[in-house]
Amino acid sequence: MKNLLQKKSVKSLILGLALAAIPARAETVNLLNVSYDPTRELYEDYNAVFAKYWKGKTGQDVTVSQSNGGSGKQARAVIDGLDADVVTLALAYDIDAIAEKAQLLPPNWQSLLPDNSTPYTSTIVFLVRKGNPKHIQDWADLVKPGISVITPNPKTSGGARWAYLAAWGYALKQNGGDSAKARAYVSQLYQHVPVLDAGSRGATTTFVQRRIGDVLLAWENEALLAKKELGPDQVEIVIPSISILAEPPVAVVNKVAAKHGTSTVAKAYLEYLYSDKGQEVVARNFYRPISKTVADKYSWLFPKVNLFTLKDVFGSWQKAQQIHFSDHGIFDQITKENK
Amino acid sequence: MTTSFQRAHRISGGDALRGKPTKKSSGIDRNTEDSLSKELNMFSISKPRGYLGSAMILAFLLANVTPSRAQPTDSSAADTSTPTLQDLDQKIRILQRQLELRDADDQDKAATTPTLSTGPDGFILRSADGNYSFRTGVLLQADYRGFIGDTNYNDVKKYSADSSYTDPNGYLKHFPKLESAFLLRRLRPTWNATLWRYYNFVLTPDFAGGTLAVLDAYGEVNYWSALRLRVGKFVPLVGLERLQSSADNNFVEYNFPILLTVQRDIGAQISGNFWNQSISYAAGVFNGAADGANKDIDSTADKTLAGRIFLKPFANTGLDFLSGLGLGIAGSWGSVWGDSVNSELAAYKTSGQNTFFSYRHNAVDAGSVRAAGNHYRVNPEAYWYAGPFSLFGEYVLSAQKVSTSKPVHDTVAADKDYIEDNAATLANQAWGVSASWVVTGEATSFKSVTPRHNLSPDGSGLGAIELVVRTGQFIADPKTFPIYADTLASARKATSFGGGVNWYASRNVKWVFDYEYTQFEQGAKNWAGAVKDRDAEQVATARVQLNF
Repeated sequence: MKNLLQKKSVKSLILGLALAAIPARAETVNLLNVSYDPTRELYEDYNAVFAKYWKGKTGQDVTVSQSNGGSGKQARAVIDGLDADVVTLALAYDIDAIAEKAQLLPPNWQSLLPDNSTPYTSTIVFLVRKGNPKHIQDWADLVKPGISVITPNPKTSGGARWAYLAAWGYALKQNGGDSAKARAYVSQLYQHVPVLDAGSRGATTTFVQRRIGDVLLAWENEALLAKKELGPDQVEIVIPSISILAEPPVAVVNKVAAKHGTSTVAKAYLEYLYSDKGQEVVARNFYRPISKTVADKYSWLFPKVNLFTLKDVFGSWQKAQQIHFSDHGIFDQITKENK
Repeated sequence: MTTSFQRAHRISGGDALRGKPTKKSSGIDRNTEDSLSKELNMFSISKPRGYLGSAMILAFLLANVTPSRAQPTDSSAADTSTPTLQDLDQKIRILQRQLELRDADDQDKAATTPTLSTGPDGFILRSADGNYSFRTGVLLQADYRGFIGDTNYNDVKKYSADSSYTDPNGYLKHFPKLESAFLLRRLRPTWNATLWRYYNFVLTPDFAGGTLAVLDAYGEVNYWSALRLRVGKFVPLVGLERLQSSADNNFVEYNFPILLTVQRDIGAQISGNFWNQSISYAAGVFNGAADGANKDIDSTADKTLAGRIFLKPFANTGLDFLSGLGLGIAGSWGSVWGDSVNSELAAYKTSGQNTFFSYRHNAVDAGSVRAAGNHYRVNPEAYWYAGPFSLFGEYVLSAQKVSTSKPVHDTVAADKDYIEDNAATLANQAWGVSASWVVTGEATSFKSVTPRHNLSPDGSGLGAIELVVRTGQFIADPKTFPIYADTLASARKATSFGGGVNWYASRNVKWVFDYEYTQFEQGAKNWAGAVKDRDAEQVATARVQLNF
């Protein structure tokens, strides 16, 4: 027996059998997706679909952990060391901040995925109580006496920044581009805001569960989800005359993914959002799919809204951030004046 | 069935993944009530409590209040009408929600905000995750050392040359006496830093006596309790009382066995413990030093190995009376070499810090004595802590090869052969036993006594009071005399008896009152120049100690 085992050919056979017994890519890959506040249901749904897809394609198990919070806060957390393999935030500026301050992904990250790394869009609408007792139809109604408006804090929430810019864009249009009047309107608007949550989901909690306020300036997907979950006898959606096209981007955090050895899976995870199946998940969760085919299929779900883009009105996120949301920017000034 | 959206709406915003607790708002808690009352201060309302308090606020507002700023802001609609119930309900909800968000924000900040605390353990700056900390503390011991008619043998030579003190035979007629004095015995700040949870750094200098000495300066890696690595300057394992913190010793000064151990040496050691510290071990390599030395520089390549094993055999048995029993043995083996400038040999001192034994140095007849090679120590040790009672004892044998050499041979390399011809291994021994009783009933331990009730000016607490007694003996190797030490100046044996009271005002403040009587064999000369026993030393010491 000893002589048999010493033969080279026998040793090779044993080694080969042992290697064959090990399944390819047997380990589970773990990803951390750091996202903005309202995407919990979207990614709960999507993560299951992607895991099934990836398992079928590669035989590898993938587990995606979610972190949700105000987009600005989430970006700061990643900059401060939260090991995100991918970020799916509310606005490009927050991912730019990660690229600039922590150098965790390249400055040209937005060009690495299709459609400026934006697999879905949304907008800002009004969510009101059933029957719309305060008769809120448009932005101008928000500043009428007795109206209480719920919107999160633009310093921390991406949705809040989109809402602020939507309000500003409306006021500019109403006043022929007069920035001073737009500022006056927005200042008056925030005088009607009694509570500033850190993120969009918190604001929805304030409005829906705590039953505070008359109107919530909500992500469209959040409003549609609330109406679906709570029932039409609780809330209604009001589409304003004009709103902003919100473009929440996604990106692989290259350095973290490389460190974790998850670059391939992370890239595939985001790319699959653009697939038909991924876009179906997006649409089912009330985000406007970027795919025209799927968008057409779900056009009945999304109301027609007169949209302007951030670029149309503000030029770029850098400019908008600098003027409105930076320290001592217009929002800080408004907050100070309103105290 | 609760939907995911409904479940999600119970979360008050924020990231559950990062471990932030997700709170369901369930009414007003006490902090909310206090803040709520502040928020409602404009309504001049006293602090409500609980749900009843909320109802009280609502009732009061119904009767008295005007709407808040979050309601109509248009000045033209300055509302003079009585607010509706719905308005008031909204106001309360808004305030509750603001408090919820403030709590959540505070929790967020607490997760990343470092804390600075101060207390019995000193000043500690700690990161939110606990992985980094910096602690600063200090040990201050201020003594009054009083001698009771004791002869000052330290100044014998000086007074022997003074004819007003001597008779025609040169014998001292009027012996100088030891002077009582106040002194700062120890002034040791300690800085202790922890990095990345597992790496520890300690620095302890001593400023007492107007000089600066570095005592502890080491780094430690603490991944596992069973295996730690320490590198730097620290106590090299031998001497149980030496391993105890100076702040925790029962007496003002160490007992005799510690005279034969090294104060501090530089080296590296591994250590660890198993089974709830019932077995502890340590092993290290050090530069090697003389008894009592605080060594910083090593002039030779020879090193000293040291090891210790300590058992607490009943620690996990549930037998409380025996769980505090510990026994162990430590030892060291190496080589120590002296030269004409630094003999690397100790002089031994009494509890009153007076030298009673020293080797010949620069004596004309026999030549200087220096350490000349092998040095080993053996140290069996034991303690027993049982409630308010304790017993503590150890024995040390310190054997050092010594030699004499003529002053012209002032390098080790140059006169090694000469040293070998004149060498001998001298084994000095010492033992000591002490006992204590905390009369106020607190438990005693290797790490001192913590009073149940701190001393308080209003008499509500007296601290803890401990009675202590001890005895000990030092025995020089008989081969020492007369070649290596002078019988007229160095005692062959010293025996001490002592007692005292330790009064623990708190964990950080201790008062110590000791009395010690030490008698000697030989170590002095009589009127005829023949050897006699050195006069006994009686010293009473009072100490106030601040330690944190």
